[in-house]
Amino acid sequence: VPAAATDTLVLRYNQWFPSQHWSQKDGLHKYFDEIEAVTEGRVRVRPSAKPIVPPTKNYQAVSNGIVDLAWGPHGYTPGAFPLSEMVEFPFSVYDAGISSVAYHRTFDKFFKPAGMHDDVVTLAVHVTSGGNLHMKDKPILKIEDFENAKIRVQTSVVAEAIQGIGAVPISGSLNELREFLSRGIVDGTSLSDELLTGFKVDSYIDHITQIPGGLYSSSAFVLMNKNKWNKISPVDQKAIMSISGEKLAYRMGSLWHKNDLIARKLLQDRLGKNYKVADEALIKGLEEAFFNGRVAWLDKAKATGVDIAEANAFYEEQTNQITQQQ
Amino acid sequence: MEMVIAFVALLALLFLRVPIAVATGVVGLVGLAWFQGWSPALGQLGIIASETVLSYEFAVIPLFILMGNIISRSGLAEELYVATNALIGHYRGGLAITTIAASGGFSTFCGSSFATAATMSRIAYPPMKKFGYSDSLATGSIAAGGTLGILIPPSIALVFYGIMTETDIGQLFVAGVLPGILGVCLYVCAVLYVVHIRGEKSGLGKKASIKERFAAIGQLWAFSLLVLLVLGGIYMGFFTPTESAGVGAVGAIAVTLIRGKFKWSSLTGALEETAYTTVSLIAILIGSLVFANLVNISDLPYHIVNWINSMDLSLLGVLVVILLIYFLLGAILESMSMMLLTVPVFYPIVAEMGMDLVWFGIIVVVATEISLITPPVGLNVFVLKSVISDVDIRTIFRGVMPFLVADLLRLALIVLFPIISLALI
Amino acid sequence: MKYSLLSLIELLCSKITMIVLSLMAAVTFIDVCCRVFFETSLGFTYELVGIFLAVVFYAGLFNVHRKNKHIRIDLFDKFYKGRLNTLVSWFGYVLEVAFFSAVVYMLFKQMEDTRMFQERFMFLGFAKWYILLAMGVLASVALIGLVCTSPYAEKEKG
Ligand code: NA
Ligand code: NA
Repeated sequence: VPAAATDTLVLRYNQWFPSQHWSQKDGLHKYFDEIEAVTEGRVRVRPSAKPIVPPTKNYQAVSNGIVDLAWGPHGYTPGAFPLSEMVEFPFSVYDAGISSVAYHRTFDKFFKPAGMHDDVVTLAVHVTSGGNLHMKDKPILKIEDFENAKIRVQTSVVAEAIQGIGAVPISGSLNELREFLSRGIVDGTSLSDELLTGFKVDSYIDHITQIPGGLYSSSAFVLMNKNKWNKISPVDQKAIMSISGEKLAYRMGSLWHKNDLIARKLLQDRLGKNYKVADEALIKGLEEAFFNGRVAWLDKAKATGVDIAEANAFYEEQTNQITQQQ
Repeated sequence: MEMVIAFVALLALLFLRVPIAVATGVVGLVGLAWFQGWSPALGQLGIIASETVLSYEFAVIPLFILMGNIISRSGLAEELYVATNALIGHYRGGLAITTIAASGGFSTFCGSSFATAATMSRIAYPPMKKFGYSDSLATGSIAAGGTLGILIPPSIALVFYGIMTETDIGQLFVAGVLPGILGVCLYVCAVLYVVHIRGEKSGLGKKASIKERFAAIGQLWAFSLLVLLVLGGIYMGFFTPTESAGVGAVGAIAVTLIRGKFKWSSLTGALEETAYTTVSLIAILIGSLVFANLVNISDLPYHIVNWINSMDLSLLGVLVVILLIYFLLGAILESMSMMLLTVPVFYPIVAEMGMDLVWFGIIVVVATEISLITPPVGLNVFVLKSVISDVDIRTIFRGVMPFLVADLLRLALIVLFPIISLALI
Repeated sequence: MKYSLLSLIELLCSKITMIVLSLMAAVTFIDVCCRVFFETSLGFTYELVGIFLAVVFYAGLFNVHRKNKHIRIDLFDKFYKGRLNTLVSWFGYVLEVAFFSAVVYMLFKQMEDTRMFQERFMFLGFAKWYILLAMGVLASVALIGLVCTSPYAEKEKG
């Protein structure tokens, strides 16, 4: 690490997610080290000792200068970022690294010009690995199994969809999930496999139904405050951007994918035949369950002025293209 | 340097009788404005004043206090006190020991040190006064006894710690049992010391007949039922600690109804008092969180961590340093905000050194407990003062001192012998 | 006239606080019962209880202001006598009014942000800014209560 220059600009990062989680330790904190390296120590990022604002306020806090940098999911403020819900619908994220790059390109081409994230500097947007169905005692193998099942969900898109097929969606933070599962407040949860092991709740789960492409995916952002950005010299701005954007999206997404595969292997070994892949009938049923939500979302998204059909097509096309390149 | 000014300013405002919520809030706000400008500073106040209050997690505060208030009006704490008193009240210092034991028992399910202190001061102070106990021993044992409930499960503090460090809350509760009992024993020793060695004034209570003793113990069925409901429910996995507070509040109403002691006026009285306590505590929470953000923005935790790392200490050395910091902070900070502030800073350090986080949690909560009775800001002492207004606050602090020594001894034992915390898990 | 209006607000705030507090306990209890006995659950309990807490706090604030119930340290009270007592009391009062004015202002600001963001409650479904509006209004009423209350002064003992 180069010695700190006297004119070092120290940026504060809102550390609300557990700092020892790999997404922070191996992902963002490494990225922050690189920022310091490429700016030769002129810009340095310091994570806060405790959350300065709750995860629901990341965007607001960056936009009015409470913190300088933040990472977090769009879904924590339901309704605020309708366009981000494009990547949250099911069956689309097979490799979070690839999808993240495609998503970032879509953001640059369609969403950013339409004014999404106008109050901040966007360093990257990315997706997380697809969520599966993790159940405690009773597996969900067919649509009827959703009847009266209490499932903790991550996004409102999923909440509405599974409510339509008889399930009882329950909210609550990831931190509370262990309590929820151990006390039987929920029968299961929908998460990516790696969050299940990452938050050490996998011991409560005995049945997993893998949903190829994910029951949902989360859209996430890495943001910087505009004023602080303008304090950085153009040379350093360029240096930071050279490791941000698509690169950062890929870094976060692929890290997610890598850890998801590790967790999947771990869970498959432990659960054996109780780790199942959803069959066609279940997928079809879920598709129907999400139908109304998709229609309603299209209207909301159109209201932002984006040609959402075109954006969606671009996202899919990019995903396929990058998949073939690899 | 700025932070030295901030701490001095905070102390000055507190001594100038500015409400704690306002003092911490104003110093925090001005400090944040100094570092970041007014707009971000006020922005943080706005987020804290809306999001903190709009959260489920903090609902545990009014619910536990409500349960405590209903119980305190149902005569349950009184019966607990009478029963213990029938057994040991007639020994020298027996009433003070009774107070300690009843506080421990009451707070087992009450969960709130404030509610315990407030309730016990109503129940235990008059008899101690009547039998000639000195003000300092009487109030000291009540203020200190109230802190026992912070650790003895169900414990809000352990819930918060568990959430922040992702440690199993059930395990934390089990781990809290032995150190909790140890705390009661050491407090009893403190009372014995005060009356036998220091010879402080303490009259003898009336000796109860065998029949009276059995009758008193028989009265305890309601108490046992509530313990069973609240603790049993948590351990059996029927509900979360937060929910147990809601169940406990409704359960307390039900018990008073069954025993025919229900009065509409006690319910409304309990609700009204709960509202006052809740509002003043959440106001303090808001102020403290603003101040905590200032501490955070000023990079004080970062420098502390660097400093601790630079000394290259053993785990014991690090713990001693951390506890010293707790003691200093505990002098002026309210316990909840102290936890919110320090746990995220310290737990990664000790975790990296391979320390068991359940054990660390018990240490942190005991250290936090102590802060409730250390001057100048000892919230339990203030609660007591608000109920018994004619006793001088310095008298209470003087009375608390022997218990403070007992607490420090307990802390040392828990640090030196992890088995005390980890034996049951 | 002025005083009767204040006491009317006092009564109203106190009733709101007490009712909502009871509801909070009741909803938690019912949710647990539904789960334990009927295997069903009210998905919105989390959000509802949070809202209840907000209402309890800001509605209760009025009476805490009116009755000077904020927790403060009276360690040096015996030094504050006569004019010094008045001075110290007014100093605290001004800070108090300033701080709670800032809270009111920021609540409305926060409401505006939330409205622009179109944030919604995930399970209750309605827009979040309605609740922030209610919090802002209650906090304003509480502030009026504070302004109409004379500064806290420890009664001279005698
Ligand atoms: Na307790
Ligand atoms: Na203290």
